[in-house]
Amino acid sequence: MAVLGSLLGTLVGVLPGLGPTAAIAILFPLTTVLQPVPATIMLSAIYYGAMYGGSTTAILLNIPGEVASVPTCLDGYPMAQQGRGGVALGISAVGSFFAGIVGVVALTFFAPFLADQALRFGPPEYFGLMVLAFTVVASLSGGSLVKGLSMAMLGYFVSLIGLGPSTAEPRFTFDWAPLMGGVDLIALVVGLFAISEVFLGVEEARVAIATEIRNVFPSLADLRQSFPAILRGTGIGFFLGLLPGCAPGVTVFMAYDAEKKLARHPERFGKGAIEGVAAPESANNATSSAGFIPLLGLGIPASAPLAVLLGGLLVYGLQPGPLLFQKNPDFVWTVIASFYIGNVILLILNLPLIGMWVWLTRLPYGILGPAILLLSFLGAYSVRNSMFDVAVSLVFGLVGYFLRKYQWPLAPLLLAFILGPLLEKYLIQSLSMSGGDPSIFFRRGISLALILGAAVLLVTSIALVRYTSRRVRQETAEEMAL
Amino acid sequence: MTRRGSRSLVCSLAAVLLLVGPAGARAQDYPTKPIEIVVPFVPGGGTDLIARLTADWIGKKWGQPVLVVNKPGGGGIIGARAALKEARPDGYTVLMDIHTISSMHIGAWKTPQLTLADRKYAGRIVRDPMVFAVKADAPWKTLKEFSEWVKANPTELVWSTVGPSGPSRYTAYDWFTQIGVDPAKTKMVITEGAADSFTKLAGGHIVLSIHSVAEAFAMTKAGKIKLLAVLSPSRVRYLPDVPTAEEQGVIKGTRIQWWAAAAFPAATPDPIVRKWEAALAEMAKDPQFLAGAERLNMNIDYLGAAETRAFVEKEVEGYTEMATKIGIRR
Repeated sequence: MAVLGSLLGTLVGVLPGLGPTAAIAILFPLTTVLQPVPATIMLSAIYYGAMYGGSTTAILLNIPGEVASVPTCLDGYPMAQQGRGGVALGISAVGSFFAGIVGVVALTFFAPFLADQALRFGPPEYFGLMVLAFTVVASLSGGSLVKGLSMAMLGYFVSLIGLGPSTAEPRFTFDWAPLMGGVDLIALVVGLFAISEVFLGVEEARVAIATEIRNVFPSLADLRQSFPAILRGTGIGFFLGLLPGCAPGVTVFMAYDAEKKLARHPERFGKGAIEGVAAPESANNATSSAGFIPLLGLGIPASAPLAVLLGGLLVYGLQPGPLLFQKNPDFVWTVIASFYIGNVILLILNLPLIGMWVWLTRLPYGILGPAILLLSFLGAYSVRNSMFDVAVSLVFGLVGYFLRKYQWPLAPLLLAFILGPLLEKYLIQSLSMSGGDPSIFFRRGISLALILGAAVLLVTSIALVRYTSRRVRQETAEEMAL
Repeated sequence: MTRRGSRSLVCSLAAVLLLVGPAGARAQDYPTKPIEIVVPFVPGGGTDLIARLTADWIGKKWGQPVLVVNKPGGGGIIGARAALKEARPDGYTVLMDIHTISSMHIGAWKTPQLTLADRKYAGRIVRDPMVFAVKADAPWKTLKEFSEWVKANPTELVWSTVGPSGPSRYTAYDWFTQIGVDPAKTKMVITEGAADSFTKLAGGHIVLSIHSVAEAFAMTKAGKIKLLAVLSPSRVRYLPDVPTAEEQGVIKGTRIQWWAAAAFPAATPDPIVRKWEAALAEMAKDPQFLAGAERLNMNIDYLGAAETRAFVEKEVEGYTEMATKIGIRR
């Protein structure tokens, strides 16, 4: 089951636009014929596999299958262009494996305990965390902070469309029913990153995206260089992943950013730095594994795919929560054991299969382009089963095409789109708790520490961006693609 | 865009349209093709679970696949519109209708997006009462004690609701009115759902959460939260130790409850709706279905088509009156 799930999950994950949520949603009916334990194992393996599969297209095609793969593109694609795509995929597999195993070990020993700690995070603490996460925008801006902040504003504006998170008051909907549901994240991601890529490809009249793969297995030097990044990525991904509601989409950016800040030569980032692939990929898997702790321990899904997974568990008659460990110990431990196996399988499966994925990218663009487009539309459609989302993805495909053509960074737009509503929600919730008194953020230790940390990070980020952009201008006029 | 690009675009769109599928059939040999149950929320919630359980049972009975399609957004209105207004009224699209998108929505808006005239009910499947929950180590043992504390310290009460016109708010205001507390003095926090509320409750960030029995069940059994009262005419089978609010002499009458019913577009042929009504009645008595519902802590409470309509009509009256009184009807 774990083998089949990992394979299917990776396959769907490799397909652009189809992230873990879509993968689980599409393959869920397949598992209903099974008994609860194998079904859950398979669903979890699909989740892991899809998380991993996203990195393949990110590296080889510069198309992130989901938000969590966006930072992987930043350095993975340049590596692929330099003929080091195989190494990038290899290090991503190694990093994912390491992070997955660490996550599962922690799950085995600490799940019930850690599930309780997460409860200490209330709205003010989450607000502090979101403020901290927003400082990442500065370093995702590429050369220009002005462009980065403009894109973040645009992203925040797009996130405002729909019903407000607290008041349920329609905003920017112009009394038009489809807009009430807001812009779907998947449609936005697929449009900005996948569809715009096809447009660019058509414009450049690409023959194929073929990248030379010289080496699949990372060299010892590569491993040595990536190891600290893998460790840090795992740590960041894991600890933030424990917080219910903190999805890989957030932690990967933080891990990437941390590497860039710690690097001796931050200007290497965005041009094929191997740490830039190792850190977010490790963080991605660490967050995914850590997400199982609040899920199994408290029944709280941290992200959309985990919410789908929770639905699956409930349908099979398993109520996740601290009681699950006492009531269905066989189930919990079998599933945990399968996570170990699943991670090993992913490593075994993915190193040799890299060649196959690469072959996929050698397909003539006349076939690949339309295929990506079709799958992108399917991905956009399948989340909410809505044609409106397909139209939205097309609109953002055009927007993304022009933004990329004129080198406006897309990542801040996406980050603000995701974090904006959360920031607003936690701000309103915190102020409701205190009766409108903003001192609530400074009276609570964790939230105070997070906000102070954000201030320090912001100053460092701006200094770093200034430094980087000066270096960039000195060396080459070319700006980062994303 | 090049010509090749635009052609491939058209092809892709055509393929997507094909997947959506055409519709159309006659009533006498219904069903001849897969049926879709629209759940206007994300997967995993109560509405989704009961829809999946129903889909499974009906699918086996009629030998046709019954698919659950999640169309979340707009507090459920988007999916409800899609199922009741945009879908073909041929019986192949069913809406899993619940209080928030029907009676509560109609009660809260002077010009609601959807009215009862847009629906034909086949039957109510499940009904779940609300409970008052506090942190497991909170000092109060009964709703009566808690109400006394709230009367003395209204500004200390931080309570959660899913939306400004959600069931928790109606229930809380009903309670405030009956015990004589000014709601403006209390602190209302809007959360994303029952799971979000209970996490904040267990973490001590809020003092009171009001949600349904099924939603509160896991955290209660885990000892993270405790239930002070259930809002039901009698005690609930799953929670025999939790007294009703009425029993404690705190809140008279039960006006707010969670329920789910199968609804069709208004123009759906009657024979198809009657076929569903009969099937749901049979399902509600089937031991295998009931066992499945028990695993989900769902209180199956079947009502036929006419009774469901009368029940919802009465709720609309009640919510309209309450929304007007609270001052949220607009």
